[in-house]
Amino acid sequence: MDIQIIEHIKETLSVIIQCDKIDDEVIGLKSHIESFENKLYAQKDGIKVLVILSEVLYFESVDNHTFLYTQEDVLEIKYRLYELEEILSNKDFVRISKSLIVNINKIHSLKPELNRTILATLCNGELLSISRKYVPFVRKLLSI
Amino acid sequence: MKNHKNELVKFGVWTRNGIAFCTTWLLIILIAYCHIFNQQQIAVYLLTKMMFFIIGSVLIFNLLFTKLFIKKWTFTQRLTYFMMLYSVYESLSFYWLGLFYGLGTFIQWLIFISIICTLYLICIAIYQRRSKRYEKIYTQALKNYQQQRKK
Repeated sequence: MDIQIIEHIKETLSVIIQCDKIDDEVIGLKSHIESFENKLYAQKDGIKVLVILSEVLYFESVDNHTFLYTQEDVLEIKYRLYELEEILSNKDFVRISKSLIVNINKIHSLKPELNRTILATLCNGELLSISRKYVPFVRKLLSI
Repeated sequence: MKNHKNELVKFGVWTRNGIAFCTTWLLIILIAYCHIFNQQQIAVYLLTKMMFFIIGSVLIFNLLFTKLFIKKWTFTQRLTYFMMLYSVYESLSFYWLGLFYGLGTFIQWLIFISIICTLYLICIAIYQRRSKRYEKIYTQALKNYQQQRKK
């Protein structure tokens, strides 16, 4: 397998696989490349961990530290929330308050409240509140 | 600027519609009252006072339920302040109209306040029921979106 990197091309990053025919090996390689972008480095007890984004429930900023929450764990990451907003797909990860970015695919239900916020119930039963400022963005995303 | 103009137009429309609606019902009730109690005459000054009462009521309602003056209150806040303000306005107006006189008894005031509280709770109950319906709509929209993302 020959790997070439061509620098200084003013286009978005793209990977071209040239092959004789599409077999299992090529499909596996493609899947591996596709999943590469969907990971993030986080830290727990000083150990670096690679976290698959699809497993992340939400990100929270507390006292200038950013944490990511999965079903089983809480890990710290080095990014600020505004940096995460730039990195993450805005179709899957939505800012819902000043200190929270949630994985929209992990929300089980939404309930509008009397105070114009929306209560989001996650797949693990956790409740997050979408603040009034961010409700219009969520509604626009869901085409409500 | 455009938003403010829209709110101003909305306030105007609601005021016009509110006064028309209330005046119509006032006339219907007056006609019914006069028919039932066989009253042949209606005092003009009383009708005039009722008109002013209606205009004041509509203005209070629109002040609290449109976004021209108060932009960020929730429905519950608006309803609560409306009920409080309108109760005072209504009591004073009824004295002015001659419907209330003297201090009244404790029972009479209790009935009056009970009616207001009941109406308030009915409004909250209707709004909560509406919220439940919206919960289904929002959750369905969420599910549709999640399905689309999976494809």
